[in-house]
Amino acid sequence: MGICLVTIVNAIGLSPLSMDITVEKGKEVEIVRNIQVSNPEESPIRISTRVTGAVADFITIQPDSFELPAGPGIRSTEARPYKWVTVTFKIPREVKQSKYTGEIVFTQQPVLGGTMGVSAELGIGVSLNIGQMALAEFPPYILIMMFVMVVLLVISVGFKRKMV
Amino acid sequence: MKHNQFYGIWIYSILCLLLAFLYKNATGVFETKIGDYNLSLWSALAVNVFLIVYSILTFRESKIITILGIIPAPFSTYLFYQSWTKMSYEYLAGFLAIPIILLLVATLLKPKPRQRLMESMPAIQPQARPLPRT
Repeated sequence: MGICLVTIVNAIGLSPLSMDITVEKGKEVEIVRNIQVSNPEESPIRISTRVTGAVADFITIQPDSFELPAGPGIRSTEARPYKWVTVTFKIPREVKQSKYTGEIVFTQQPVLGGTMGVSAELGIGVSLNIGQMALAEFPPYILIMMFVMVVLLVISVGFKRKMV
Repeated sequence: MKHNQFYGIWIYSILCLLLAFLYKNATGVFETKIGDYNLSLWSALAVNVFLIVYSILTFRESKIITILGIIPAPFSTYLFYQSWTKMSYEYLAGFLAIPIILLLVATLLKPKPRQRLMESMPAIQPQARPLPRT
């Protein structure tokens, strides 16, 4: 009696393969990006996500774990089943470094059943750059108040001298 | 020494305007933390402590300006800190309104009659007395 072990190594389709984001320094920013995850294999897969590196503090992924139905096969030209994963970057005002890097790693969970599965991992490189100092966009009434103040500062000195 | 109080308010207004310009053009400078609070609190506190100290030192000139300087100073600090931390410009409007009002009052307030008299009078020169004859 022989034992037959079949190893299945699935592939995940990811798009885009890298993310390069630049934000202004000193400004609270929330950026949302989407990643398309597809399954070309002929068997359903389960995918879980995690973030590695310094950039992990700023990233949340939704959904962080999901399943994809069986695809048409790697060589097939038919459309592959896919899912959009939302990546939210929440960058606070107070950041210490000027660059944060890391990876969003998609792990294909071992397939349960009669065959032995091997988990496959594929990562997307993320680079978060903290750029120039942010400018605050004042509403018109604040700009008017500042202008009034400048005018008042100039006029008041002359007015005061005249009063003496 | 004249109009010390007015020039104190004038400098205070310049400092407030400077904070507003920094807020607009380099808003990130206030992110530095000292202790548990960021620089927006400490810078506004420094400017308002200057106003309080100056108001107390020059209280003989006008008590109204002294009171008007001391009372809103803590509120001014709070307003600037809240404005930067919460990114709310209504607070900033309140912060800017304080020096505008103070500057208007200090400009329009006439000096006391006694003070005006002192300023208009020429300085008394010591006169040479003839020596008593012996």
